[in-house]
Amino acid sequence: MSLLTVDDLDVAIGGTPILRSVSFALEPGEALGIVGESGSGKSMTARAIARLLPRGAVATGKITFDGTELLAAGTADMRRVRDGGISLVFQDPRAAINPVRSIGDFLAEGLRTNRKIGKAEARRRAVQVLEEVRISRAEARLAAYPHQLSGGLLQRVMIAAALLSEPRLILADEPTTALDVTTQAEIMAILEELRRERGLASIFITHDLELAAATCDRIAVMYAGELVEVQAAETLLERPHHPYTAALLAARPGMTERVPRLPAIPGRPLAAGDPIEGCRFAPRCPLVIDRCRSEHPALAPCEQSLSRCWRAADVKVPEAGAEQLDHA
Amino acid sequence: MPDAGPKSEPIVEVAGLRKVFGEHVAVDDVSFTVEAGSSLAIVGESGSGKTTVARMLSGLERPTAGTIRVCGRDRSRPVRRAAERRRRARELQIVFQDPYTSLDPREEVGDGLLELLALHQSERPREWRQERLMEMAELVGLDERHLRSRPGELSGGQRQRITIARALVSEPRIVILDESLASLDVSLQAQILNLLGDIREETGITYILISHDLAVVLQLATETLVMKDGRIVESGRTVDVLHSPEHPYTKLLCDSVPRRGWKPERALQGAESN
Repeated sequence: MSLLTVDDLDVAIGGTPILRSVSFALEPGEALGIVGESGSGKSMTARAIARLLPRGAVATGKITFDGTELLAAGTADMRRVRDGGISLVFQDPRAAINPVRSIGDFLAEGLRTNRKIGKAEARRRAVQVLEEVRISRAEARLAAYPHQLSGGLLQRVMIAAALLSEPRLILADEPTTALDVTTQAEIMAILEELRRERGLASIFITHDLELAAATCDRIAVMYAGELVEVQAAETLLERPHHPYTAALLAARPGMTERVPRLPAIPGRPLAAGDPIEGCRFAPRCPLVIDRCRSEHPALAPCEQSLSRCWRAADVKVPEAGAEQLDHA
Repeated sequence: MPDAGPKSEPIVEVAGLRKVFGEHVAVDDVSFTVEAGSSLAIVGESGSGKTTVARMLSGLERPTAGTIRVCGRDRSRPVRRAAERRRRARELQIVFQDPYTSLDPREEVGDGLLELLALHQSERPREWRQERLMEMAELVGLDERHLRSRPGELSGGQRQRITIARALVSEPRIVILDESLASLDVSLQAQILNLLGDIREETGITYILISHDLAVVLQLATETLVMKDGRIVESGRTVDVLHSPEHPYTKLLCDSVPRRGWKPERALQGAESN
């Protein structure tokens, strides 16, 4: 049985759609990357799962975690889900930690209030999780305050805090975006190790397709509030089946060589709330045909992928540094 | 810098640059030259000193020691006279990372650009300035409708285009891009990178790119300096620095870039524990 199923999830704020019929499932121990640009709905999907939607947002559909229906769950059920079910890691660790409390107090707090665990035992477990995220001199770090730690170290503390409740799913929203590239590599390595050792499932929200593909089992690409492609990470980069995925891959400059012009995606991204008949990517799509402008495609299998595209089979493989896609 | 064909005149010359904040040495003995029409990237991580170098070049920080010469004139000391400040603005401009906080939210972006034109091109007639405004908008890919908008009504990419247009108003010979592309989505970043390339082709402008994104650096900069803890650890042609790095820190930076077949553990081997 899937650990998490999201079924036909719609989110709207003040009647304006933010998410449109998002559906996917996550197996125990699986790492799913949700990739998209600003406004694609990737963070809103994470917030709906965590039941942290902004005020005024209305979610419909079904989100089932380990047998609990989250959108209908009461306070007691949600507390159970948050303590031992789903843990969260956010983009900016400094915004998510109380600056005037020590790392030790921060880590022990949840254990002592939620689980009625004694001071010495809470401290022991705090040291244990800090060691698990490879923080050296863990015992001594308990006395440190957030401002004394680097951004990367602090993000590791946040991951350690997420582990304290022994979750089955970690939901990480751009956990490395604010960090340096070498620190990003460390954090991703730690998350991967934890997944392996603890059998944790994870949902990793990012704008970085290459990073997601390198660290996740499966990738879901979002555009204008909906899923446009879901595919195994292993094959997505070589064989994308949605023109938006292909365009994202091509637009990113590579590390091999300078190209005269990058194949930018023409036009501007559609907002999830913009009403449009047909495919939401059609106005920017190089493969567009008449049908795309009138009929909205469903997420349907195409070879090894699920793609929301009438021409999924015609999507070309982007070559590194290719300029043929230049239609800007 | 290693030579890149025929020698042209250095437009920026920095020697023995040092900046100390209290006890902390942010920039230590940094020297480099930039030739007119080339592009230099300064790469490094937070705390490397790259942004402090940019701020000293643009006059936002005063060096503790060392000299900065831009277009043949010394800039190591701050200016007092407005005319001299305007002259410096016509030599060098800086574009910051965040297009959300560097624009006046209450002013139509076209009016803001006209104000700058009036400041830097005061000897020109009003019609010329109006015409120039439209030329600049076109150069950065915006139209009249955008110019009549307030920053809040524009997308992040459009705002960043406005900040680039603002930097170009004084027709500077050098533009410093301080992480100016970091907050943009991939599709917008590609548009802006193409735009910067076009502007360079049309105007022969010199870019100094402050960035931690090595792929962006490879796309835009001909020369690269790598900074760590306030010092330059490696420098040379961008392709050489990124494809055959010599310093272990440059190697680590290159290995940390996610790409096809990349695994995060590999980069971790060389990483420090803190």
